[in-house]
This record gives sequence, C-alpha cells and structure tokens, in this order.
Amino acid sequence: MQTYARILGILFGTMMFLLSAVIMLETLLRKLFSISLGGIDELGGYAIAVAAPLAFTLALIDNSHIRINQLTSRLPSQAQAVLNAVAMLSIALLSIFFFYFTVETVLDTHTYKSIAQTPLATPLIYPQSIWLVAMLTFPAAAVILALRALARLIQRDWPSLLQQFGPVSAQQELQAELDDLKKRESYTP
Amino acid sequence: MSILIVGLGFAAMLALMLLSIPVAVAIIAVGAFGGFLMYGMPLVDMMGGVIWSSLNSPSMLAIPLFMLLGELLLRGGIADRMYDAMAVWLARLPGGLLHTNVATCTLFSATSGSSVATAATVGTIALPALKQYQYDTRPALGSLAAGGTLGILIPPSINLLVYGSLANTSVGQLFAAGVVPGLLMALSFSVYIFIAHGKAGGKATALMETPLAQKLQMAKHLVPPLVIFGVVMGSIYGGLATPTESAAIGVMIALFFVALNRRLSVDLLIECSIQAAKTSGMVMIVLVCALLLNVTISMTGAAQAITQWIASFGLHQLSLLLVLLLFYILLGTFMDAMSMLVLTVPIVIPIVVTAGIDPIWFGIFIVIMCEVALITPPIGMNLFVVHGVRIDNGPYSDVVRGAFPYVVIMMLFTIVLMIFPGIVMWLPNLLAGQS
Repeated sequence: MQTYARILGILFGTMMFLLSAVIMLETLLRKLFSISLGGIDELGGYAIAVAAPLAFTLALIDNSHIRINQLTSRLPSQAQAVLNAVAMLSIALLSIFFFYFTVETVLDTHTYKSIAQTPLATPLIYPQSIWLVAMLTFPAAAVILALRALARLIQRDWPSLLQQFGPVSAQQELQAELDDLKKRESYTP
Repeated sequence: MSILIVGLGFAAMLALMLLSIPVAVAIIAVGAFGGFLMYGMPLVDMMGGVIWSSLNSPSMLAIPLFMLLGELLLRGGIADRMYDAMAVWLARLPGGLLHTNVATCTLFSATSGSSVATAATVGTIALPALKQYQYDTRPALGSLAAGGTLGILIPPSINLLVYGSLANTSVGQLFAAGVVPGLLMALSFSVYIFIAHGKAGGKATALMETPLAQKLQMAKHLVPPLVIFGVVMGSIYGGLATPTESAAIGVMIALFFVALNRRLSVDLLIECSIQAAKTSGMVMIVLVCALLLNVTISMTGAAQAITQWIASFGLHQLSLLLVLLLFYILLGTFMDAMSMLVLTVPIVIPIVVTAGIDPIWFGIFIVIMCEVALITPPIGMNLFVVHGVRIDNGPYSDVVRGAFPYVVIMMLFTIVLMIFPGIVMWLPNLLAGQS
C-alpha cells in the first residue's frame, strides 16, 4: 500500500510542478508581452480534478482524513477500535459514492457529447475519462483497507485496529516534524 | 422547510463527527441523505456534476499549490534559520526574545501553513535559547503557541481559501483583508509583551552585542521567505495574477531558493509532493463534501429557514456577532479549524449577509475564531505541539496559562474589529478601487 501511495504522490507532484511552471510562463508572457498560451486555466482545472482523487487516496492511506476524536479518545480502547473500523467502512462507502457519480457524469458526457464552455471547446469526454481513472484509485484503496479493518474486527484484533486505523495523533505528527527537522539540520550539501 | 429539520440535520452531523466518523463522511451523509429525503433521487443525481465542477475550479487548484509552496519552504530548510536572524535584531527590545517568538512563528506559519511544523521548528530552536537566557517558562511557551496561530490569518491562508470557496467570495479580497488584522494582532501581542514582560530577556546580552556586520549577514536568511511572500502577495494585490497563479509562481520561486540552498533533489521533490498531496487531500475532500451539502442547503431552503428563525429574534448586528463569537469559542474547544469552517459557513453565511455584514469581513472574523480555537484548552492544537517540544518535563498547564493572555487579546481585538470593521475592509476596498 505504501508503494501505491508513493506512486500516486509522484504523479500528483509531477502534475503540480509542471502546472506551476506552465502557469508561471503563461502569467509572465501575458503581462510582459501580452501573449497568451491559451487554455491554461482550463488545463489547470482538469489537472486538479484528476489530481484531487489521488490526494484523497494518499490522505486515506496515511490515516490523515480529518476525524474529531476528542470525545472518543476517552472511550475504552475496544470501543475506539470498533469506531476505527466503522470510520474505514464509512470512507469506503464515500469513495464508492464518489466513483458511482463520476461514472454517471462521464456516461452523461458521452451520451450528450458535452463540450467545455471555453474558447477551446474541449470535448469533455477526454479530460473526464482521465478523471474517471483517477477517481478509481480512491475506492481501490478504500475498499481494500475497509476489508482489512473488517477482518480485524471479526477477529476482534483490537490492537491492530487501534494502531493501523486510528487517526494520526498530534503526538505522531509532531514526532514526524521533529524527525524531519533533525534530518534537515544534519544535511550538508 | 422547518427550523426543526435543519436543527436535526445539524445535530446529526455534529453527532457523527463526535463519534469520530471522518468529517467528510459526516457532511455528505447528512447532505446526500437529507437531499434524498426532501427531493428524492433527482437531487442526489445532480451530485456527480457538482463533484466535477467543484474539483475543476481555480480555487480548488490553489489549495495543493499553496500546500506545495509551504512544503518546499519547510523541507528545503529555507525557513529554519529565521529565528536566529530575527533574534539578533529583536533581542534589544523590552521583552527580548518573546518578540522573536511571535515574529518568527507568524512568518513561519504564514509561509509553511502548518502550526505543527511551526511549533516543531521554531520551538526546538527557541526553547534552548530561552532557557539559556533565563526567560520564564510560561510567557515563553505562550508566545510561541500564540504566534503560531497568526499564520492562518496572514495570507496565503488555506483557511481563507476554503472559506472563499464555501462563501463564494473573492479569495484575492479575502487575502487582502487578512493582512492588516494579522499584522495588527502580531503588534498587539508585542505591545502586551512590552507591558507585561518588558523586563524579560535582560540577560541576553550576547545577542544584543552581536556586531552589525554579523546581524546583516544573518538577515539573509529572511530574504527567501520575504521575497516569496512579497511576490505572491504583490502579484495578487497588483492585479498581475490570480491567487492560483500567484501560488504557482510561488512554487517556482521556492524551487529556485531550494536550489540556491543546494538542497534540490528528486527525493526532496517526492517528499514534498507526498506531504502536499496528503494535506491537500484531507482539505479538498471536506471542501467537496461541504460544497455538495451547500447544494442541499440551497435547494431545500434550509438557509432561508434558519435566516428567518434568527431574524425573528430581532438581534442587532453587534449582538448577533457576539452570539456567534460565543458559539465559535464553544465549538473551537473540541473541533479543529477546518471542521469548524465546513460545518458552519454554509449555514451562517446567509444569516450574516441578511444582517448586513460583509462576507469578506466575516471571513476574517471566522478565521480569528479558528485561531482562538488553536490555543484554547483542553485541546488547542498549538498548545499541544508547543508543550510537545518542551525540553523540561513541566506540566501542560504552563502553556495553557502562558497562552491565556493571548486568547484575551484576540477576543478584545475581535470586538474592536466588530466596532471598526474598516480595519478589515480598508485594504480590500482600496484594491477594489472603492475608497
């Protein structure tokens, strides 16, 4: 799962860095020479629509999706473990919900041969097909993780549910930052 | 639609969140299920189009770009030496390094966008120095925790971006509106330090006597964050670029500084990408779900129902804001900033707009409330992380007490903003050519 996350992260970063370069070029050309590359806004919109599901998946694998655990952290650990499993199942349902509506939208686009309301008049089926593939990465990971959590629940494996599926605690987040700081301080170019 | 149903929906959402169901799921469960109950499948069937249009938007794109910018500045080590660079200049002031704490935390959190990274980096560097020069523990911890909150008000701010999307207001204007209150609040913190801890830091003579040449030499560490801040904000305010474009330009300049710092490597880029993807993912998913909930709220007339209900109390604008102030303080004691925004903005915006309050002004108000939430016990995130980087094993109550005066300052400051809304609106109005 970590390799999967890394690949998604690299794809995400590549899109964002390339897009930043193109947007900067477009802005400079527009302001300095009144030239426009044309369609960069539109491209940016498609890029984020495709990149966002990858980011949802990464946040999921890292247990980073926002959960409020101020009250539940006071519950017995068994109850917290059960809630972790419920959270994983619920987010898998959310990912299926998203995917279902993505498929519906793309099918509609296909049926009506929808075209973007932009100067380029891009047929939406092209960017939306890539969006559909990107959107599939989310349920692909979410369902596997939910099934794992469900298996742990059936086995009554509370420690695993607590460790692997609990929200990232502030303590863990802080430790990660402190480790990174140490790495930066010891860095010599 | 009756106010009772709206209240039930809100309570159901809150209950799901408190059961630690992911916030995105809690919002969508109520939004989609509520929409289904009221209008059946037609409303639910619209959601695919809403998911596409809310993702395919410039303000959504600005989120990962600003996150990436923050990651580059942080992981590229560009901001690490800011503390030392500021300390040699500010040590001379009455209150000494406490001002450095506020100033560095403000700049660091504004550029990195992360309060955890701010506390970890600035706290780790500051606390040994503060101990060395015999500063009292509580004011030292308090100033670090409070300084770290200002980053979400001073642009670029993800919270303001999210608010802008939810309230359908201009992000550029919101960014302009955040500057003056953000700087004035930092200044109020410093004034408090002058008054209450003016004698602190008298023993930091080594810092005070740093030769001018060395001070100037150290000031170079302030250049990259200030240049990036200046270019990003300047291009927005100068009308040269949209917030999204300025974020992209910021990313490219940050890459340049990282390269100049001889830290540019494929590994670093991958690390920044993964971190930015994670944090963007968690923000974007709640935002998409909140925008879907917005559809249900507007279609079902929930916003009108609650607006009429609030209007029936005949509250004066100021009393309405005071009620909201209390409401947000209460919410902030157990909820993080992003959840507070997505849970409340769709409902509260129609109310405040009906009451004649400018949504830009309200954006600043709500972000200050988010800041207060970061340093109010029992679970203020900044309190926790600053406590976490302490080198001695003192009690948690030290940081809570140290930060309390700043909570009071923030409250008083907010009330001043209520009475003089022009403090917030001056810059955005000036830029919009209205004044």
